[in-house]
Amino acid sequence: MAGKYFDSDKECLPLARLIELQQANLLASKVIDYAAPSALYRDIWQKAKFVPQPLTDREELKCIPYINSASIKQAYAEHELVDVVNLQNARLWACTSGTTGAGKWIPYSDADIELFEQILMRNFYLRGSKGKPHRVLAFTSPAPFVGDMLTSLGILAQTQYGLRQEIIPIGLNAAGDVINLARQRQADVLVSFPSIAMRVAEEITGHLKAEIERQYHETRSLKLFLAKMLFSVKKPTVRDVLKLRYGLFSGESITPYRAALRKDFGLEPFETYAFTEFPCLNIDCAKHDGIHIWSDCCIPEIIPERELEKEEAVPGYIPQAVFLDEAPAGMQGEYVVTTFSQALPLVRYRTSDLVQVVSTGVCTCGRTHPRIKVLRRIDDIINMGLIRFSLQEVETALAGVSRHGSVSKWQMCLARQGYKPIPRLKIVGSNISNPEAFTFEVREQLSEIKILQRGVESGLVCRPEILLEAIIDEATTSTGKLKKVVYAADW
Amino acid sequence: MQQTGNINPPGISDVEYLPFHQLLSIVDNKIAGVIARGFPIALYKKKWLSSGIKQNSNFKLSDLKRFPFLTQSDLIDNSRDSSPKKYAGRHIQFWNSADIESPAPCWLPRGKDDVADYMRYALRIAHVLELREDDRILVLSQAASGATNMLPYALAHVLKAEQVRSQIITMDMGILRHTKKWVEFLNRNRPKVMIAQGKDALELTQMLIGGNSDQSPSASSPPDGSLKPMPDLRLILLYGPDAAIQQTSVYSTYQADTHLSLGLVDLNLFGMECSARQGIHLWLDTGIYEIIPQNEIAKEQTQQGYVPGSNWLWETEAGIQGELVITNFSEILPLIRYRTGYLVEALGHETCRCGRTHPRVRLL
Repeated sequence: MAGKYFDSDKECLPLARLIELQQANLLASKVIDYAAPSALYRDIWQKAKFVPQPLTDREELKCIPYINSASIKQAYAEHELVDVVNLQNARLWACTSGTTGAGKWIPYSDADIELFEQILMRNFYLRGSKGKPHRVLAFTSPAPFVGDMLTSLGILAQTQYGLRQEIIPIGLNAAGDVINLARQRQADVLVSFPSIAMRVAEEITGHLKAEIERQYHETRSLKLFLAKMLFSVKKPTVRDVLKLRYGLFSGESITPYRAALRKDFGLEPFETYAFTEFPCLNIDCAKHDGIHIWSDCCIPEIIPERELEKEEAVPGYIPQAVFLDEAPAGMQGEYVVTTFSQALPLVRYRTSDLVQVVSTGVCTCGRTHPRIKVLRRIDDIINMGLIRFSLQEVETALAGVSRHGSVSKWQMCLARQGYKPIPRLKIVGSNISNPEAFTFEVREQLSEIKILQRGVESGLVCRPEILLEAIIDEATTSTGKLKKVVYAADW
Repeated sequence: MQQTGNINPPGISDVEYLPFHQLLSIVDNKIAGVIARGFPIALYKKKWLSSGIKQNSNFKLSDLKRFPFLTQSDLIDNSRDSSPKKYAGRHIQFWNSADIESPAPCWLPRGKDDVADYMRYALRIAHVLELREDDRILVLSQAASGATNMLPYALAHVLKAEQVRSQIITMDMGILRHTKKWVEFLNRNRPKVMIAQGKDALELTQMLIGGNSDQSPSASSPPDGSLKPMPDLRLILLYGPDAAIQQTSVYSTYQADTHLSLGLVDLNLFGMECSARQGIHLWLDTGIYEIIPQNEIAKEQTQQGYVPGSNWLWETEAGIQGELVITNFSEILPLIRYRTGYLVEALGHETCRCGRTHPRVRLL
């Protein structure tokens, strides 16, 4: 049974052989052939004097220029779709949220879809399915977000692979419609964003007592009477409703939520890492010692932090990356990936995710795929999990402050209140006539950032704190510029 | 048999044109199994026993009318108890919530066979729509766990299997209302086929042409400057309770061939208009259809406790109007004599100009 989902030949290959397999997959993918006609690469490669030719060794990748999110956006903005994407191989499309403007539309080919399904099955097993019929409550983002696609493909794939697993898919805003079903079905696995899971927990604990009271008045059963009595002496918890064993979390870092998820749900949390550009779900195993990067499906690299600093300090400097499997444990840097897609291959795509290498050694679970920890973003995004917006949006909002003074310097410090993100905005103002009114206006302007306002209203992030400062002199970049976003130690 | 479009899989296209008596015999062979699956479920057991129906393995189609009707409130009540004990021995793969305008959650469990049926329906939709190579298909879907959110992915699988090159874009209308910037992509990708609820198709027009709060109107206008939204659109499949009412507006807005469907994928059966546009073919091999004529509905409304009579759709005279009642063949929770609330007009069961033999109705 397990053999259908657990492919020890691929998952536990000695690292050297895994890299041989990776290289064989890279060469077989003809990724350069598929990438070369795309406007995404044409200009960048020409400018770097890279002449596309079939690869014979993965080392040759290192001569190829990087691309990033902006390159994709630019290619779409300046060219017709047909010039960017191999449309004849595109089957399904998904889109990123577009934190900094237009979202990135990503096409997937039939081979991509097959790969994502295989990896989903790999993850189902790794998370603890092992052929047992689990019952999964899956919160999923709506199309065109990729979450909708992965949930549906998971249902189709598990049927095709003969995995007996029951999935209750539900939209992010519809928790109220599903909790009773999940409770009755004895759901034991939760798939969710960590912040959504904790909001569900807050809602359940906040309303359970009143709900039991209401139901007791409608139906005076002994069971409800006992529940009513119990909650008159004990604070309800989500565990009184849902008996979950495992949680599969994605979309944001699990670290700040891990303890609360364990305590409130009583589940074992698994962290995943993927992105719309390449939604091949990487996951940490039951040993929870880093996320295994499925290295037979892509070429992962890391640009070390010192290289990133050099890039910032020296105009035109091109930072050097190392293959993930060759990176020392503890190294931090930007995650770079090359995929094998036939629709829109990513060749040396800089993700802007800062990661840390956990180990390239064999995991105690027996798997050999290198492990990482995802730390945070390194681009101009204020990333509070589901709630993301650009520095430019803050800049624009604060530029509108004028009635009682103006903003001359600002810095956003992202911290936590418990597990919940709290944005602390430090401001140095000028010509402030009334500090209280000035702070009020700053807050008013910040509320113009719609996504932030929605995050506050939905309880996913705390209300921003506005701190008036005389100077902001901490946290500068290697070139001495003030960092616009800093992360507190508890982040 | 007609061969149209690029998708003509033998198993699917054959059943579309089967002689009528063979279609009925498919149904007749399935009915005993369907009732056997329904009997242990509390939703039916008590009702059936109190109607004097005893379990046996020889039920025929002709016995079906002895069974009481099932209503939306029965399904909602049933959703209140979905314990494993209730569905003991049945391997549920996933849960749908019904698309029907339901005042409370209405959950329907699906098994492996239901998923397989679902794939077959996707294939059949592709066949009847005569999808072509290089079609770009836009599906305006519902968020999970509505049934239509699975359709694009099922379509992707069947189009791959049929080796038909085509792209699928899916967008949830709920989120489009908040984040309209994604609509701009439709002016670039220019869908040729759209599957949508009528009201959503019309709302999308406003987003495409009228501009929106996220972007300037010019950014969302078609690049050729025409006011026709999605100028390459050649085909629209409408579903949902208001599809018939919206059909004319949708057609005049998009100027594309607009087909109606009876959006019952969530109820695990389906029907859609063919290219002859002589009403919606209800796929008789996927379910059993009855009509409660309007005079019977009127009697039910005026006489307390009156149980209205129904006619088999295929025996109903053309022109008779009434409520559509369905029985499906679902693996985990078959719906037996479910009153859909859809008012339809029977159009007879003469073989259609397209050659299909499945009876037709007009949605009212």
